[in-house]
Amino acid sequence: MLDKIYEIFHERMIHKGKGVGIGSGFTSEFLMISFFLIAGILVLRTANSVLFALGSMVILAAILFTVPTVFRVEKENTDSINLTCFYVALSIAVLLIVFFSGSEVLI
Amino acid sequence: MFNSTLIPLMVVFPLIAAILVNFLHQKDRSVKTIAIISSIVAVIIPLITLYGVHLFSGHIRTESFPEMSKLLIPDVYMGIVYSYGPLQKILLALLTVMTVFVIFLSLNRKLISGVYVAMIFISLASVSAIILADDFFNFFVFTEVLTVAQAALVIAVKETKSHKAAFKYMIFGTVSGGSILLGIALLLGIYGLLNMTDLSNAIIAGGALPPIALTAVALITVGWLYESGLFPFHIVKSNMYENATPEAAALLQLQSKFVLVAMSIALLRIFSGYTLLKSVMLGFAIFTVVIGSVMALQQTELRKLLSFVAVGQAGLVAMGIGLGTSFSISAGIFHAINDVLSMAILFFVAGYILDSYKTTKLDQLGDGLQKAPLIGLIMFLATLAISGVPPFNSYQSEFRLIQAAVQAGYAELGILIILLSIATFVAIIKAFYMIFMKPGTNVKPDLAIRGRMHKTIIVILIVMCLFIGLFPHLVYDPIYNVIVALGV
Repeated sequence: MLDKIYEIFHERMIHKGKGVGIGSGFTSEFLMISFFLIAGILVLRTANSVLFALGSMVILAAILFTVPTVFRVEKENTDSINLTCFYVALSIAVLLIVFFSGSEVLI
Repeated sequence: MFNSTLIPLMVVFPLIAAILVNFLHQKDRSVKTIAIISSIVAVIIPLITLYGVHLFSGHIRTESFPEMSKLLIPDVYMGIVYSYGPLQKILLALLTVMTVFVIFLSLNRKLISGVYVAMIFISLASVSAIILADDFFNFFVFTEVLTVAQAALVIAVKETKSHKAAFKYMIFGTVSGGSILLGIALLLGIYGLLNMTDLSNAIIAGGALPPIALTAVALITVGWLYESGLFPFHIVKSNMYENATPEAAALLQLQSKFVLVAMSIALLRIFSGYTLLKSVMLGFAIFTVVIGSVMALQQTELRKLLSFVAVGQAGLVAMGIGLGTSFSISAGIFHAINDVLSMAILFFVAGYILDSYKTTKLDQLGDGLQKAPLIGLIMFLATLAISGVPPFNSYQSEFRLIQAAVQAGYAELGILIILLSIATFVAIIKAFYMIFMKPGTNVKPDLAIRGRMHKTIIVILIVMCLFIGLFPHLVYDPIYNVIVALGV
């Protein structure tokens, strides 16, 4: 199993050198999976909605089927101005949706 | 002399120094002399200034104008106000000391000129104003000045990729600057106020936020993300750090984190009680910290690796602030202070390596421990410091962040912080191995580079890290008291 994972990473990271490069690749993959699991648990525990819980479970399952995720993350985080523009637009939209759909009451 | 009238001098003096060195462009000896004297004076000013409030134009609090503000708050400030307290003192002392270090290191570089040093002074004045300002428009003006000065520092490297990085930074700066300005204009339209204290009082008196105020919150949050270098602007920010000289990168990351702290406090003060804002801050912070760490692990170039670590650590600071309790906010600010020290050491080490090897590509480096054992030792200690290993300073702040997360009811975030510390350690120790312990190297180091100044400064910084780690209360307690008093 481990050999197979090593082969996958080695194939994708051949230009980054062997050994330590692949080790850090493993670490980042482990970090991503841990992040998704922790985020899933946090949403399940704190969100007071069945819909939210089901949604997070589906997203979590979908992500876990797409491992290794680090290469996708790396692809989406290049210096490309187009990608940054896309994520900036997306973030502005998310911010407006969250603030308008959330509570406006001060506590 | 020793009174709060010195407060505006913390902004005005670096601006005067900037104008002076700018006039003396290319007269390197005069520039050096003025730069050294001015930077030392800039360190002294915050230390001798008493705590207090400076009211520009002599305006004092005056009766409210209900027809303008539409809300019944007893009185308002009619002029620009600068507040100076223990938190500002700590931040400004560190900012000025680091600026001195960066100026000292930059003086040895070929790119030194009046304009370059002027940009360092302008960025110092801008960050000082951002930390001191209690007026939202004044705050905005200096964030814009800071953006231009930072871009100029990167452009000074005179490489195509530096120009591209600065150009991108400016493009997104227009988006963020426009967002902040529109947000401020909307708030001014609703409440008729620009002073942060008055705005906060007016918003609390008004109860629920109207839709226009919610739009303002969203727009100002976009600006907050940009100025702090959080997702989705993390790439733009890391690109800036990577393409600046390593010394300038150390200063840029410090400025970004202090602006993050100042702007977060401003937002939390103005919209105090609006819990959704804190949740949004927390969400973006978590995203930044994970992506920053994952990207750092993937890098094979030292400066790029450190840039992503710096971005990830900014996320950790924002995470503490986003948790929203007095304890977590204090821990977040404390982590900002600790992290800028450790990151500065690592960037200065990168500067030394760049000078010696003419490259920072990890696969081309090696055998470093035999050639520069002191630099290797300091880099190893800085790696321990930034990863939160005791007895260094970041241990104290990360431990508090974990405690704050658990106390706030988010134990999962405590686990995430531990995982991120491990990831940071792995990312930097990989670089350490490849530079200092890996046998064989493709490039020949320039042994004529002694780097005495580099060595002295990084030794001072690691001693500072150790000192704060051993006596954290000297720094943490004043921060906690200020945050409790602010009631954010």
